[in-house]
Formats: sequence, C-alpha cells, structure tokens
Amino acid sequence: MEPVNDVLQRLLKAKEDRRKELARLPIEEKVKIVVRMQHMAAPLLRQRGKEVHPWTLDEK
Amino acid sequence: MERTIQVLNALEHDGLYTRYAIGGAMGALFFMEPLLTFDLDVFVQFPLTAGGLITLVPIYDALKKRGYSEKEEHVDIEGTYVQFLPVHNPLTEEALKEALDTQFGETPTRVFHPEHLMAIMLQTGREKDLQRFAVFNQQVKVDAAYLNDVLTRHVLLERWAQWNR
Repeated sequence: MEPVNDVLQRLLKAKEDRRKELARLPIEEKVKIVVRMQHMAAPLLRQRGKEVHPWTLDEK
Repeated sequence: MERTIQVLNALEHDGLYTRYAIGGAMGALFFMEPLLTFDLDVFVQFPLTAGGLITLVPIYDALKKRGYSEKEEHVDIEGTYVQFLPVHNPLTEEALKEALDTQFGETPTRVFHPEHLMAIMLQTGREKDLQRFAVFNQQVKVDAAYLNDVLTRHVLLERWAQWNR
C-alpha cells in the first residue's frame, strides 16, 4: 500500500507527462485528434444552440 | 488540412494577400497539446491600396471561383473552416512579419512564433485565451528574452506580471 498523496502525485505526474507527449506529436496527428474532438463535441454544442462545423480530413 | 494550406499558398501566389500565417488556436496547436477548436485563423497582410481601405471581398470572390463557399465569417476550404483576419495592430503585424516557416505534411506554410501567440493571448484576454495561455505556458518552451522583447514592445509586461501573481 502507498500513501494516498504518493499515489496522487504519481497519477498527476503521469497525466502531465501524457499531455506533454501529446504536445510533441506531429501537427498532422494533432489535427486528426482535433477533428475527432470536433465530431464528439458538435452534438453537445448544437444541443446548446451553438452552430459548429466539424472539419473533414483530407487524408492522402 | 494540407489541401486547405495549398489553397492558402495559391491565394498568396496570386497576390490576394502579400503574406499569411496561421495564428489562433490552430497556431497554438503547432506547439501544444490538441485542444478543441472549429476555426483555422489565417492572418493576412493585404497589398497597400491608394485609399488605404481593407476588404476581404477579393479573397472571398477568388475562393468562390475555386468552388469554396463563404458561410458567415468563414470559408469552407477543403473541409476546413477558415477565418481570414487582417493584421489589425502592431502586435499582429509583427507576428505576421516574423512568422515561422514550417511544413504541414509536404506543404510549406507559416505559423506565428510561440512568443507572439502568447502575447496575442494576453492582449486579447478573453477567458478562453487565458485558459489556453495557462496550458501553453506550461507545455511550451519559449525564448524568454524574445518573449520579454515582444511583451515590452507591445506594452504587455503588466498583464504578464498580473498573470504571474
């Protein structure tokens, strides 16, 4: 068993590392993630009355 | 998005604007983790006109001829919603002038320096800009001296100091 604080610290560190890893992805990969996020968020935003236009990817 | 950038390059080549660079959230994306945005903000510098007036109409007309439709303040270019923004103050003018040459896939493009993106977020100061600023500041290694120069030139040191309090 680890103390709660140690576990939390480890989890937060892992989370931060993951975000930094995402930041280091090539821009092309990041855009693919953004487009996936757009498609996930669009129905919720539309329910709130916001008009949004998710992009389509021009994969080669 | 690569085909979108190819169209932006073609418009610059055709003289619709003298220079463009990607800014806003998509500009920030070149340096930080993915974040939700629906706009590709493209900052443009227009050729000088005799009357000193600025209009986006020639860009929209040229895009229409290429088959891209204007929807409110955006243009759907190859599936990406692009917003053209004329450089409108000394900070955005400088950001465009000093923008970094980069690549998207095999296509050349330009993006604002991270230090200019930070300064613009501070200057704009909306809640979403400041939230983005907080993450950007954690994740992106910037040139401190260059950032200090930009913030000094554009009278943003006080905002920076407030942020750091």
